Amino acid sequence: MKRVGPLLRRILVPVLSVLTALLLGGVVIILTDFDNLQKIGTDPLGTLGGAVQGVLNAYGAMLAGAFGDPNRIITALQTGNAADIARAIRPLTETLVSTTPLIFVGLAVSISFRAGMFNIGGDGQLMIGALAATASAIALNGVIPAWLILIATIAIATLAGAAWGFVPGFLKARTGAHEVITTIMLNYIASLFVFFILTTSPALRAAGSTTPVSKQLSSIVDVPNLINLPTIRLDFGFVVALLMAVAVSWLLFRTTKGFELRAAGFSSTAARYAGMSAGGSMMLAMSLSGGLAGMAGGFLVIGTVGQLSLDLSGGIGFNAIALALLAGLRPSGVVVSALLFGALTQGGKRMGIDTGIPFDLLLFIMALVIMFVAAPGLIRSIWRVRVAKPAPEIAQVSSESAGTV
Amino acid sequence: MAISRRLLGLGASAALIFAACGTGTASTAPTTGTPATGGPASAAPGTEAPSAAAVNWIACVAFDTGGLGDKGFNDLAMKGLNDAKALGFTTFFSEAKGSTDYANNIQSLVDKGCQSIVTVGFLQADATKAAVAANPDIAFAQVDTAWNACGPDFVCGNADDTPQPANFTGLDYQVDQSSMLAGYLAASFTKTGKIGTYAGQAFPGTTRFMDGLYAGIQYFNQQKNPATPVKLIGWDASQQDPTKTATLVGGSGGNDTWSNPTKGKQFAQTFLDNGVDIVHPVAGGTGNGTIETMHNAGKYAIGVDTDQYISIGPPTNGALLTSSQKAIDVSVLDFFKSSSQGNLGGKDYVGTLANNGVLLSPFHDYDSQISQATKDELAALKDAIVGGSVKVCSFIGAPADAAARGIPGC
Repeated sequence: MKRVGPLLRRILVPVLSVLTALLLGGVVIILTDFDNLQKIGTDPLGTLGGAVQGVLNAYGAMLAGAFGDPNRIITALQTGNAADIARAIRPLTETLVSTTPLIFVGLAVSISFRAGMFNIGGDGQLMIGALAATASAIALNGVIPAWLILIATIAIATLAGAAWGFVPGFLKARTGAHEVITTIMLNYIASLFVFFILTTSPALRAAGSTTPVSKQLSSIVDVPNLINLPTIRLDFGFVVALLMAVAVSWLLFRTTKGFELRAAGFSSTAARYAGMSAGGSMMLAMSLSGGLAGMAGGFLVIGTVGQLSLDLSGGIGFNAIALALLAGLRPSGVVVSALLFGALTQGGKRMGIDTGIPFDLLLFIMALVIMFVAAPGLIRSIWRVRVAKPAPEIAQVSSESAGTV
Repeated sequence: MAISRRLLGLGASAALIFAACGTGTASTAPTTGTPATGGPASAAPGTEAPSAAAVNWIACVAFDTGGLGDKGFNDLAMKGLNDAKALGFTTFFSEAKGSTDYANNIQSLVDKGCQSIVTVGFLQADATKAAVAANPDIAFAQVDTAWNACGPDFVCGNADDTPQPANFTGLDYQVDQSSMLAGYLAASFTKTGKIGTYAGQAFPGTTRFMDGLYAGIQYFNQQKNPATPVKLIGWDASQQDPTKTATLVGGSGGNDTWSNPTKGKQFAQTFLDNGVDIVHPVAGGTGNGTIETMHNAGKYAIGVDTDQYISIGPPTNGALLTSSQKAIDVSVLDFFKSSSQGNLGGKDYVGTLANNGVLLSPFHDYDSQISQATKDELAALKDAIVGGSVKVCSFIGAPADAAARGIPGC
């Protein structure tokens, strides 16, 4: 029982934040259902029923879209028909597909935040990793066997992302240039650089094509799928993401380097006084962070998507910041939060298709989650939760970093 | 105690949410289950279908990232879908947020039981091709695309030729025909004898507008033989590769190309400085800046894709003589109709003046300023283009160059 207390206290605010955000999302669903609201004068009870039904339909579709229908999965498994099984489990696997890059970039953000560095450049590092993976896969095609290309492309993507992340770390350590500014700017540079390469290098594009999209890489190299069924895209990238969570956790909490990173995050002055190299920690944290984001890009282009295009990242870098904060910068928490965001994203698309509610409602809900997590006092007062312990760690990290902006 | 009370509250609210979601799932399950397991033949829309004359067909559109709300291209496809809904089709649509969504969204629509699926945006081309191959009994169409039968090298008759799948329809628009009418109108309306045009980027989807405009002006000069021939600035269609001297926005191909009204204003100013009094911008939202500057200068513009007089609204739409329109909404609806009658595709749709797939918008504010003679000449020119006695391609350089820019027929 004693161990349940602290854990519950730790997850209470995030859980209540998600719950509150979903409730407010429901209010928005009701207020934007004009067809239903128009009847309020003539049929107030029916309007109320319609409102509740609308919210239930929306969230029901979201749930079905994120996890699939258990009955259908069981029925499909019993019949053993591959197409039926694929159709039944696809929502669940697509949730994990959305989750995979979020875990990578969420871990990336956590490492840098732990070291006191706000890495806003996840998108740019991901794009550079993706570009490096695409170019190396095409360059190595036919030179070495496919399984070696797989390892090489992921390694190169990771190194490229690390190099892109190293730049703001280096600038901060040597010149004091603020990483928030430099990483944001490097995002633009990265995406315009990718566009430049895609438009000026016919070798990367499909033969005869002039659109700024790379050729299909799946014929060259493809990350093996976890489940071999048609339309199922879940691949070993997910497993690697989980392994990375373990690795990052070990690094941060079980090694001297990890201790130095965290010490630099708590107080760089104190860390320096204790004989640790603050600049070294910054560069290391940003490189590790960029490397993880680059790896995410690599797995996207040679796995899930199979080609490089400008809209590859789709805002993963920014969502990752949110989920890392939600996770309290803990690797285990990142996995759980990424699953939540993956489920919301996947469920939100299904909600859009089923009910016509725009996907933007999901962005609204996600933004509310972050807002509430950032303001634990607000959530506590809404739900009348008594404060048992002073402000959690996240608040300390964010307030300290905010002070340096 | 505090903890257990909190736990209780949490449990209660969680139970509430799960209970709520549970009923929701149950109520949506049948509608999603029936079509998927029943296959296209028995995929009846639910009994709750709103229209009395329900059509036994599910029509869907997969949109690209951030396209909806553009008051043009994407919203026209949406209008086609809504028109289908009004006719009693069951409709669904998906919106992408990144390239990871393309294949997933199309597959979700397939799982939803969609029998006709239209995809919008060239980035979805590869995902569409894969879905076309994987779902031979679902009819697919892509907006602004023609199936490239000659394969990646564009040379017909060799090994890489790709025969069009029986379940794919490219929706292609010969806007050069409507822009030829616009060019003729502009040539008869201009006071300075100079007309300007530019595009976001140069590909057949944009250059057809400019080639057509050029052809219309040339035709006017040929017919009326004015003392100083009317000139088109920004696009010299007589060259083999006009892009070398063309006025193009360039940029990354994203917002800074297609939603950059500031750049559009600069272009308009340059045209004005050169004595141009009518501009036909072919650059999405960037062109709206051009229209605004032309309006402020008391000069004129010609709209693109949709009747921009309506979509832009007052006051800047006061500059618009007319627009060169693509009837994307009509062709999307026609595709749904013909596929619901069992015609899954295999042949591209080509929008022309003849089938109203492309058209010249009404003149709105300028209706009274355009003489009846000019209107009659435009009607005659339209008939001539429809009948084939006047062809856009005969005004724009060598036939092979015209064909390479997507204007066949010579």
